[in-house]
Amino acid sequence: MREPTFWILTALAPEPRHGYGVIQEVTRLSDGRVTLQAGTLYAALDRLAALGLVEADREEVVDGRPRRYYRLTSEGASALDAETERLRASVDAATAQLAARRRFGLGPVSS
Amino acid sequence: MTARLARRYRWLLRCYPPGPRRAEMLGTLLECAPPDRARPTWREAVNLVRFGLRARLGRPAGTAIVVLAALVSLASGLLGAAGAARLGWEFAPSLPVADELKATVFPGLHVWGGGDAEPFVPSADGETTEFGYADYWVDHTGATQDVRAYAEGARDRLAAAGWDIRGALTVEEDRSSEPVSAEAGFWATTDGLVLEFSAVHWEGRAWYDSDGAASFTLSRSAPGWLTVVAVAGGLIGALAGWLLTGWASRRSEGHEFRSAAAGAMAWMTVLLTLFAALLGGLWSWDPERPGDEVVWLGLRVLTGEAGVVIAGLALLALAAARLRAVIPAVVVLAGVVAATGWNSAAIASCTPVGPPADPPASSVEHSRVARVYVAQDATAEQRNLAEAAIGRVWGTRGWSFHYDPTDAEYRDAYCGGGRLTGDSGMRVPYFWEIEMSSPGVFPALDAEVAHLPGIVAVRHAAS
Repeated sequence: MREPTFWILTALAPEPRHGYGVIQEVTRLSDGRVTLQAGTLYAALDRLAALGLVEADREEVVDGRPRRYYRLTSEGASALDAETERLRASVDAATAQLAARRRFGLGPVSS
Repeated sequence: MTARLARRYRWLLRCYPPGPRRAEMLGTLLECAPPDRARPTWREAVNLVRFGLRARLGRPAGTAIVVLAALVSLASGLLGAAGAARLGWEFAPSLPVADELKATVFPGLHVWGGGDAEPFVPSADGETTEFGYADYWVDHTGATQDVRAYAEGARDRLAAAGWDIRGALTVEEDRSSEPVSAEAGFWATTDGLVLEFSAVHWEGRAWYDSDGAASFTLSRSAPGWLTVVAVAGGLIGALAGWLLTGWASRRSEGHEFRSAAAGAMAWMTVLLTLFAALLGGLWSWDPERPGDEVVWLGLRVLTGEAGVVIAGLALLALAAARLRAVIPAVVVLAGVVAATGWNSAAIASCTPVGPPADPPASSVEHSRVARVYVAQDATAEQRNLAEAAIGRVWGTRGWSFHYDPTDAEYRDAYCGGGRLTGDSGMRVPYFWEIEMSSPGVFPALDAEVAHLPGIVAVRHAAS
């Protein structure tokens, strides 16, 4: 799973959001590290919709412009769950290795 | 401010296929934009073009369609470049009247040949295509018979006149064969022109046979603007290929059989195009010739018979995606075929009484065909000598003799393709049909043959 995909699923996990809502939420959740471009976001949404991981929720019209909301499907939630587990395992492995490095006194490790 | 920004975003969003997504994205983009933004950032623009073109292909989760679209674009780009090049070559400059060049290569000698040529001509054996050229030559004198020394002299004179000499002088001498032969040649180029010098000498031949000649051919190299034209055509073709692939993909999305059929056809079209261009270029390529000839020969193939097959396959691919959209194209195509193919039925018959009149110069300017008419009562020896004289001319490649008035060649020679009425064909002169290396060879043929006993006429024929 690529990083934008991961963040989009994460942003949609608690509630349906529209495009701008997803972009804002991803920026907030990643502490500003990830700023999604509109093209990237909608390409990912189309792909996730085709894979059945997200779906359209509802449409509103604000300032004369259509605003479509997307929500996570249960498959999407499972996929995010699996990815989170995978990342957690990776983080655990790296943490253990760094701890070992510290123990053997092989050099400084930050914090 | 927002209105102008919205207009610019809307313009970029045209990369996306028509539909509600454009409006939805416009809303998102405007919401994202800080209040002082007047134009999309470069990053945004690139992002929208990239993913917009991807969205045109439909099938958002698929990668095969992206690969196919890229290959179709490559193929259609080649086709676009080929079409543009074909058109461009029509405006290629004529081969120059090369009086100065003649004096440089063959000082003080009478030079035969010259003239103009079509951009592309079939090679001597008819197997390949090459850049059209004008043949220039001198009959051997004492000086030119030493082909190595004469070629070296010509090379040095050309270099002094500002020509670039390409590669080394090649010399081949064969003392074991009969007749003993010696051959020397080199390549030279100048702005827009390519010259191939070749001097051949055969020793001890019969008086009526050629002992060779010192010669050169002059052809064009592709003008610089033609490259620009071809690249522009290629870019337009590539974009058209991408959009067409997207169109077909979106319309066949969700239909398994149609997708598979259209995809298979598209793959075949792509492979055929790449194969034809590559093989066509390499097949005719003369690696010794300086310049980028191979590119233009490859593109040339795509606008020939291979192009028709490719167009047919592409149409089938589109028809597989959506049948009814292709019907107008098929109707137009059928109309074109009907208009060009089936109007040759009514060429008037005629009653010739002698050799045809000289054709207007403009109709034979680029023709490499000539006919030599010989009286029916010419003796066998007169005919043999005439045939030897035809063969003596450096620029004649091959000839055939025609004496049967029911031959297609008789209709072409005497009636512009029409039928000869009654027994009129029985009384008109026999003739040789001669293929010349370049159109400018004709005056030399005329000078060599016309005065011989039994010869009635020598005519440059419209090809």
